[in-house]
Amino acid sequence: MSAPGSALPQPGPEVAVERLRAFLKRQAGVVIAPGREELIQSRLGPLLRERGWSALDALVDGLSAGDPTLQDQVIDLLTTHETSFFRDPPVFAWLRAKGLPRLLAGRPRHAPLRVWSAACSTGQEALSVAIAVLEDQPGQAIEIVGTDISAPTVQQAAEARYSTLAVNRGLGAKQLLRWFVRDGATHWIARPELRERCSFLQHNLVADPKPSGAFDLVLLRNVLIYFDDADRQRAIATVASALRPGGLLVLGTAEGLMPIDERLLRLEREDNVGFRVRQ
Amino acid sequence: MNPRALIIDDSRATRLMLGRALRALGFEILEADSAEAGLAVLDATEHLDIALVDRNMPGVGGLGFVRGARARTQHRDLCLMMVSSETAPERVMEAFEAGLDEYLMKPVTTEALQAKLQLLGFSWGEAP
Repeated sequence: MSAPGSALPQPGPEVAVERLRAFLKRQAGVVIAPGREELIQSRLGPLLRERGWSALDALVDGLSAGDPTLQDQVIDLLTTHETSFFRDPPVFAWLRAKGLPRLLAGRPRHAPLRVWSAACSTGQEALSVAIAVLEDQPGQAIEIVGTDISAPTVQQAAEARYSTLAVNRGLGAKQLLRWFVRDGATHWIARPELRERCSFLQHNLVADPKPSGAFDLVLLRNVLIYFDDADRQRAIATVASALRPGGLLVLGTAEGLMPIDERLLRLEREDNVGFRVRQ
Repeated sequence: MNPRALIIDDSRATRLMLGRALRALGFEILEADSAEAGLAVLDATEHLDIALVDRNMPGVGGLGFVRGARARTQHRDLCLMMVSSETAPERVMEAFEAGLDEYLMKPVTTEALQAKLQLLGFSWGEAP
């Protein structure tokens, strides 16, 4: 309690952190775990300096005032973009050996396999699926929709331009030369035959309806771990409704044992990443 | 038994960097500072799992090493990976045609090195 006549206490930095936490939860469904607050300071520091703000309060006030550019920047900086080509190779090996052949069995080449790469980050997962399908089943029609909460990230995915550092993680050099063209000495761009099969949209997994159309395969990997129980259920219900009967859902390797929508059937695989929609 | 890697690079700094990264993954390391010295190591060594070779070196260079290694039938299972800052597609293809298994473009990071080794079928327990 403050003494009569003294100034009101200023809100401490923890108040700004709590407001920011609430913003991120509301806008992106992402929960910053207790004890990870230093993440906020380290990731937002450069933005604070760029805007000339000395404390987090000013940034949170800007968010509350509804500055859309600032909102995009903050979501981009505070969400995780970690990804690579053919991330978790055993999962892709299983997809190529079992998952994709089942989805493609009996399907005419011209009937597109529809794939949703949910929380696609900079697009490597979407392109990896396109490469896998076209290598294993040349000429197969395929439509891949990649979505992410972060607008700048979606923009990067659509450009399909990657540094040598990024292509080194997961692509073989022959595969790189087959599917990408060099752009200057340090970057690579996916060839049109990949790019024209992929489209990218900004999408919020816990608030937006599913992208239009039914999907044969949804990849929702390493996303649910950032959500609380309610949002996790919401996201799973959204992807379950996006899948056609018999369609396949693939989760991250740490996510397979989470409670799953009753429409989904766990596939037999040691790490429990694959689920099939009940027929 | 730990897998054995031969690092061939005329830059001592690169050999140190690659050696450190590979040792952390459980590899036993041999080094050579030229393609010719690398081929001599092959002749003197019974078993090797992988050779990482620079492209541009004096003498027969990285391509010469790849051709020489492929001609040595006692090392027919040896994995050959070139590590180079050369990224021109025709130069990379030329190395594959000489008998290369994989090509790692510089700059090298630990993640990239691990990813390439995984592509070549090397595996290890928990990430170090």
